[in-house]
Amino acid sequence: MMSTKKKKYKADIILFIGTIALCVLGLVIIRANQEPGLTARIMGDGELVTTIPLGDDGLYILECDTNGYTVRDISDKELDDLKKDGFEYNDTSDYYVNILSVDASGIEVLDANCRDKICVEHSIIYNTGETIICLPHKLVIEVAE
Amino acid sequence: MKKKSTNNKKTAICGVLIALAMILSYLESLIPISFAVPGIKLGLANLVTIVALKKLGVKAATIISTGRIVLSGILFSNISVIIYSLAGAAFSIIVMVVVDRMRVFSVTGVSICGAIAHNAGQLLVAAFMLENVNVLYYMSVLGIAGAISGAFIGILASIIIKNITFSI
Repeated sequence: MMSTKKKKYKADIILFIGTIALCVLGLVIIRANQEPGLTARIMGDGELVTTIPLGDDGLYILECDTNGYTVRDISDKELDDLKKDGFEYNDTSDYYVNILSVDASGIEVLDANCRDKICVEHSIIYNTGETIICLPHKLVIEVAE
Repeated sequence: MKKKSTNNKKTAICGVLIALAMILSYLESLIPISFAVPGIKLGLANLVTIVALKKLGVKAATIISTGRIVLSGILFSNISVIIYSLAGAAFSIIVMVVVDRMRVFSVTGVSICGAIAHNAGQLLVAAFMLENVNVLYYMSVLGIAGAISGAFIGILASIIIKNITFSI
């Protein structure tokens, strides 16, 4: 009885270390094939909305209502006004907003009116293939060449 | 007569465990641990599922897991959250049952497999909903997260299983 138990513990440890090793290897391979990207592809509901150039500073607003997704430039002042009005999460609203910020270090989501704010918490991305996902808004931001 | 009272007891225990699982997932939402990648959770509610799987069987574990997701989904979030969670939970329970039957791993190993399956299931649904295959590269990160949280929950679960008896 004791020996089968010990065998099981051994199998557990092998499973744990094996999984971690495999995943780290996967990460290393992915990282090795990455390089700083030049553009960010903005995809809403599986379709390409627009492409934003990386490198130069920029502030963009992504909006989605019944007519679909749109992305446009926005000034700092406009953003402040928008924040004053507030765009808090509202379960019944079909109006999605994500504020995107671009600078020399990459692209990130500054603010959003989604439920979980996981896209806002996500760190800045800059390498090809890296993505920021906003699941509630069906939004994918992906760095490309 | 005896059988009926056993069934009643089982129903009551399932109800109490659903409540416990809901409280655990609420508690977890208060602890801000989003390691390197946002959105990663410890999966405290899975503790209840694993203990139920071992002590009460597959049916009870499935009822508890589904009950928790649907109830806390209706109370605190919305239908899309319920779909993601159910996909992860279904995948996780199926894998845990199969791995458990294989008798290769202890509770900790079963828990690790369940956690990784949960993450994989949710990611597959996300890839499908977003119509984007590239998001699957998150799997390596989610695999590491699943192994760590699964091991942690598994060790806790094996301690609980050793020390608790359900009088059914």
